[in-house]
Amino acid sequence: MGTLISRQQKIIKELDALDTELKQFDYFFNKAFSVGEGSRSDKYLIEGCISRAWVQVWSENKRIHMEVESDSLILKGLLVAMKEIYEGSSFTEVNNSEFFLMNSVKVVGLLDEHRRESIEKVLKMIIDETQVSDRRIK
Amino acid sequence: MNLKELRDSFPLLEQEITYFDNAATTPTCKACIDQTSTYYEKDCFNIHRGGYKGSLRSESKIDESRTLVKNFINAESKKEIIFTSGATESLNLITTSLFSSMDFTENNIVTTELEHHSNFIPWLMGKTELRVASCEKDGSLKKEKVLDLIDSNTVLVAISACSNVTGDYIDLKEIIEKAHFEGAFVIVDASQFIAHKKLDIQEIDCDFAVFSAHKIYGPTGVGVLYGKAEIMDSLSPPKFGGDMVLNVARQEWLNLPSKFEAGTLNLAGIVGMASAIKWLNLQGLKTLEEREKSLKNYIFDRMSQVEGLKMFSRRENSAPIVSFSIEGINSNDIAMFLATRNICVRSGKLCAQPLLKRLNKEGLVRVSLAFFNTEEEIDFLISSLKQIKERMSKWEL
Repeated sequence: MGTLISRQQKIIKELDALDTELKQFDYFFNKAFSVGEGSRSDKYLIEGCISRAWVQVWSENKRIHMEVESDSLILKGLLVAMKEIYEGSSFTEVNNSEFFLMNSVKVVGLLDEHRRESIEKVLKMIIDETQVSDRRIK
Repeated sequence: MNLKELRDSFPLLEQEITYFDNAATTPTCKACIDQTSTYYEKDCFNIHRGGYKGSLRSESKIDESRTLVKNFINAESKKEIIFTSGATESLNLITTSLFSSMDFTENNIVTTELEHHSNFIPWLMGKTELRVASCEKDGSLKKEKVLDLIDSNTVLVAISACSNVTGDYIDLKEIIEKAHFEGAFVIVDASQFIAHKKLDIQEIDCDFAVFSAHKIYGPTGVGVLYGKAEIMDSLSPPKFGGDMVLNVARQEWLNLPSKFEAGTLNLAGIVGMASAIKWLNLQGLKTLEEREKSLKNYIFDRMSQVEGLKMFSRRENSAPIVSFSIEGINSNDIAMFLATRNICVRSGKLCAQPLLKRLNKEGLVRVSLAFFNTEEEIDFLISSLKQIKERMSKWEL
C-alpha cells in the first residue's frame, strides 16, 4: 500500500511515462471511469468550482476516507488520484506529508484557476478533518 | 482579401495555436502594437495643463483618437466619447452616475436574460425593481418579451446588441422607440456587436453605449462609454479626482468629457485603440463582415456532422459565435481536450448565468471566429471534436 508520499510518487512516475498532455488527459479519464458514481448530494458540493464536484471526507480510527464525484471527467480523475493518495492515511501522515502531485502533472497546466482552487479546497477538507476529528476525540 | 497578409497583421497568430476565443479577446493588431510602442517611446507625456511641447503632442493624439472613435460609431460629438478601462467599467460608471443622480426607487429597469454579467449585475445593485425579459428555450430573445416589460415607470432599458453566448443580433429599433416613448433611457452593450458590424449610434438612437478595445483588435484596459451630451451634462460624475473639477470649493465640474474622466487616462491604450480602429477602417468593415459570414456558414455546415453536438446559436442574423454542448461530455473537459491540441476556445457559463439557466445547461463551449480564421482551422476543430467523441465511446462501451 505504501506511504502517502510513495503513492504520489507512483502516480507521478506513471504520468512521467506519458509524454504528451493528451496521454495524461487519457490517464485521468481512465481513473475517472475506474470508480463507480459517488454521491451528488448538495451537502458535498464544492462551492465555487466551475465544474461541479462533490467530495465527502470522513475519518474512522484517525484514518482518512473519501468519496468523490464530478461532472467533469478530468476533474473526477484528479480527485480519484487524490483519493488513492489519501484513502486510509493516518492523521499523523496527512499532517506530516506534503501534497506535491499537482506540481508534477503536465496536464494540470491546462486546468483553470477555479478547478485548481477546488483541488486546494479538497486538500483543506482533508487537513481540517484531521484537526476537527482530533478535537472531537479529545 | 489576402488572408496571409491579414494573418500577418497579428503577431499572436505566429504561435502554433488555433485561435477561436475572439469574443473574449481578439488578438492585438500589429498597427496597434507599433503605435502604442511609439507612443511610449516618444509621446508619453501627461495631457492637459502641461505647458510643454510633449504634453501638447500627447494631448493632440488623445484628441485625434477621440475624433476617430466618434466617427467610428457615428456619434454626434466627440465630447460624447468617454474613455474608460473597458465595457465593464463603462457600465459601472453609468450605473453609479444614474443611481447617484436620480431617485429610481419607484421605477423599474428592464434588461434581458441574455446579458453578459457586466450588463446585469450592476443593475441589481440599486433599489430599483429589475425586470428581466426571458429568453426562449433555444436562447433566442423575442423583442416582444422586452417590449411587454417597458412601461411609464421604466427609467432604463439595458440591453446587448449581440449576445456573447448565441451570437444573435438583437433587433433594437422598436425597443429603443418604445423606451423613449415611455421616457426611459436606453443603454446598449455593444461589446460583441462592434467587433462584427458597423455601430451607428445616431441610427440606433440609444442614449448610452459601451464597448472595449480588446474585442476590436486593440489593447486591453481601455474602452468607451458613449453618452448623449444633453443627458451626460445632467448627470453627476461617478468618480472624483484630478482633471475633472473646475472649482473644488463649489464642487463644479469641467465640461464633457472631462467630467467623467477623473485621473490620468490610459493614454497609450487610447492611442492603441485608435490605431486598431484605423486598421479596421483600412481593411473595410464590410469586407471583413462578408469573410466572417462565409466562415460562419462553413462552421455551421461542419458542426452538424458531429454526432451528439447541439448548437445554441443560429446561422442567420448573428455574429460568428457558436456555442454548443456535446451529449455526455462536460464543457470544460471539451475545452481542455481541445487545449491539448492548442485549440483555444472558452467554456463554462460564459459570464451569462441567467441565460445558461434558461438553457438548462451547466456549461457550454464557445467558438468565436474572426475574419482571419480559416476553413482549415475549422476542419481541425471538427476532427478534434469527433476524436473526443470517439475517446468517450471507448469508455462508454
